[in-house]
Amino acid sequence: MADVVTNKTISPAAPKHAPSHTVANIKVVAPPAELAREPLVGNQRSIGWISDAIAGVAEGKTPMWWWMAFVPSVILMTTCFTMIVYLVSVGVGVWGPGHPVMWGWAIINFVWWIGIGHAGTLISAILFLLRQKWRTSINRAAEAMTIFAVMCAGIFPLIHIGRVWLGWWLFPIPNSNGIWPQFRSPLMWDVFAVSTYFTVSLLFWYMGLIPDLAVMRDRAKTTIRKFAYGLFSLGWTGSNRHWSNYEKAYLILAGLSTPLVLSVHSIVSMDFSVSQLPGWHTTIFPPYFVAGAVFSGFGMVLTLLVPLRRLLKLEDIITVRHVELMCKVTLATGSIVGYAYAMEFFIAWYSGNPYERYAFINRAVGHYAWGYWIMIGCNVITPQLFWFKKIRQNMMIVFILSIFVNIGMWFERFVIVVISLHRDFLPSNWGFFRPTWVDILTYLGTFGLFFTFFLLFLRFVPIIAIGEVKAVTPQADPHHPLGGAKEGGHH
Amino acid sequence: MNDDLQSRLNRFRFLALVSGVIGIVLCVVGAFINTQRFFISYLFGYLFWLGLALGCFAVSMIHHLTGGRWGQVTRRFQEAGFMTLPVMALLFVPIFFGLKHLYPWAQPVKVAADTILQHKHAYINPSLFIMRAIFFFIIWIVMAFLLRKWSLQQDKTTDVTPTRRLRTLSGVGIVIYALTVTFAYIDWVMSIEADWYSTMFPVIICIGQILTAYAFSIMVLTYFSKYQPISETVTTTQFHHLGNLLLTFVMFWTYISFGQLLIIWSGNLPHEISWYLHRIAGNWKVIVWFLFLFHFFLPFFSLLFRPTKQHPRTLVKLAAIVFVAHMVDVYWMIAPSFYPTGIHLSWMDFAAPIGVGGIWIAIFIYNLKGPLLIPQNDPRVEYSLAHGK
Repeated sequence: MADVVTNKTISPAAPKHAPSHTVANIKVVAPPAELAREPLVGNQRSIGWISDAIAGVAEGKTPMWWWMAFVPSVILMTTCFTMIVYLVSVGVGVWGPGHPVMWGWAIINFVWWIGIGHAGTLISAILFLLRQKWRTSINRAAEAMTIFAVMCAGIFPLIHIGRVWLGWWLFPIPNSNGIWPQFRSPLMWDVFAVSTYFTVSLLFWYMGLIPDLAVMRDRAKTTIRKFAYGLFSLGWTGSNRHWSNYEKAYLILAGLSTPLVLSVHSIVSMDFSVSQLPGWHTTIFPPYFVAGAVFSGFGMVLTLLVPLRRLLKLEDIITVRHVELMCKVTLATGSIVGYAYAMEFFIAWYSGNPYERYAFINRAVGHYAWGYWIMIGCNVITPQLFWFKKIRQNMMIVFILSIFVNIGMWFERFVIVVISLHRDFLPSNWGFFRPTWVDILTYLGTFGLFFTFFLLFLRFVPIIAIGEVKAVTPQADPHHPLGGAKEGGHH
Repeated sequence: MNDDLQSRLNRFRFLALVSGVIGIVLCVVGAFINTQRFFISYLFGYLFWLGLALGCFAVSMIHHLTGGRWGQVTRRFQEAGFMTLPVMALLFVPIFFGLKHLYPWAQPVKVAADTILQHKHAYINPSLFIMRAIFFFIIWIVMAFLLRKWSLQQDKTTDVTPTRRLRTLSGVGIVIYALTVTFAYIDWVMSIEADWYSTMFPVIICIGQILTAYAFSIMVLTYFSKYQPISETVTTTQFHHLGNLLLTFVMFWTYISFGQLLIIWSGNLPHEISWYLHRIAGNWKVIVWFLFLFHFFLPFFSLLFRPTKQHPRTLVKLAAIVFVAHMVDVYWMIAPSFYPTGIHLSWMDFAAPIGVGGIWIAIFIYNLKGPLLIPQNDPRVEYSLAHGK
């Protein structure tokens, strides 16, 4: 907090009338106020303040609200594990799926959770390659969300195979029976895609954490904290060479993660689309699933960060501009999802294929039509509200809409899985699906798992990349009045 | 614009116009020799250049929305590109006279024999086809004029109203672009094969158009970077960014093209797979390999490396390869429907793209000559110039 005092003497971060000069025969002035971009760190916070504010979240006394969230989360997580033990000991029959809906909540939850993870990877990898500086305030928390969401997702395919102890058969290990997995099956590709995704996300997240863990180590007041943070910060000293290697590794991992944003959910979409079932077999599935995944992921990031920025008093780091930009990504991806729904419907009619046509009419007016209309309401209408600046800037509304996005995307998978399966080609093959209490409790339990980990993350790790946020402040820009080796630049 | 560049452009425009007129005259002659063949070639040549115009249209809106230094030096090229749309609308008219040569749904005999065509008849029939085409062109032309008008207005004033209008229109415009191109190309290309359908197909079309526009922008920018005023403004940064965008859209094109193939191949349903069977039959395989190599493999692996993108001379070669490869791609989307056993080249396949392309380029150069080559007073442009170097 020491350098707040020095800031008073420094001119504003974005001077209203910058001196005009000439670059390549063009007169250069600062942009007019209405087009000027809001600074990424509000209130001209100093570098010292940024460290204190972010590291402070993981230091000091545990706040009451944290316990109030943590205890129910642990109870829910325990419920999840209990349900898994019950499922494994009794058998998958305790779940709802049965002929003809052989894939029920397990696959819905799997796709839902893994989709949520995509926002983290998009923010950390693609926005990095696109040089979007605003990502620095949200990437750490979003990446953590990715890792925990993939953990929740990973549970379902593993336990739905029935005999969990044979799960290792999914890997191409020449076992004693000479049985190999079916390499033409996208379910097989899922195994590789998801495990790669988890590994790379974890590495990327951890590598980004190293400089900040060193900050925590240097600030630590107890021996245990010093030792633990010291162990995980791998001897980081912040030397020029360390940073140089770090930047290179970051770029490489961002490059490696970028295809993963597309590949994981494309492969998940192929679990459905390579079949011949109407409602599943349609060519737009891969990009449409990816857009939907990013859409749901940003919904979850907003759900988490909008209240957190307030609770943790980080409004100057996760600013209204950040929330607005996330709303815009939600709008863009939500519109792509809406386009895909419209195309599926139109082509189902255009194809002249009676089964295709029926599958879509059945979605809109059939037994499960409520699911379809919840999906349309949440995924098509909700994001369109983000066209309006007033709505994007109202945190309460953004928070509520983000929850609609989460709900809508769960129902999208419900529509795809259950409605398509429950009535296929032969009327004699039609049936209904009803989840059991085990289905419901397992799904709710994964929230416990997710939030337990997320809350622990809040308490032990800097939830925003301290070093990266500092790099986008004016103090880090040598051409800025505040930056370089002038005042405020000696931190 | 300096005199040297001016006279070069004049010469270029004259050449383009002459080859355009020769190409069109040859096409007219061809229409009398083999009418169906003429329409096939013309549809191909026309749709490739229309795709470039629409790609420029989309790319300029993308830039109004996202900003970025690459767009400020290429915006006038994209504007000159999409301002060809009014003439392209006129050049669409011949297709109205060839519907029964091109589309099964326009042939009563085929419709009578095919239940699917009968089912679709309420939507896709000659009069609705024409009405929709007119409707799409009106929307595109109105939007193109507005984008151009406001962009030029901003040159003359420091008031930010035109830029704000451009951003608002582009937000809605990019949605309109996607929807209109989708339904236009379902009519114009997808419906050539009577029973075929694919939800991915319109997306492949849009991405192909944007990719062509980026390749074209790189080629034109490289040429102009030798002359004032572009030479004073453009740096390796802009080429690097444009190279990255080219790489992105090469990857995106490959991703969705392969996705469509994989899903249709695995489903192996008769109405769907026939489209690919026509396109790999006989020596069409050569085209598939060509597309694999030059629409994906070579540009993808070359553009991964930073020096390729920062060297305009290398980058422009790759852009040219992508540009030509996409032309072949458009051909491959259309011609195999009529020649499902193998390549069946005609001299009109060259006359048509040269004819339409010559006229397109002549108008393109004409559109370039009026306004300043670098947009002025754009608040964000000046900001990026000052803070981006």
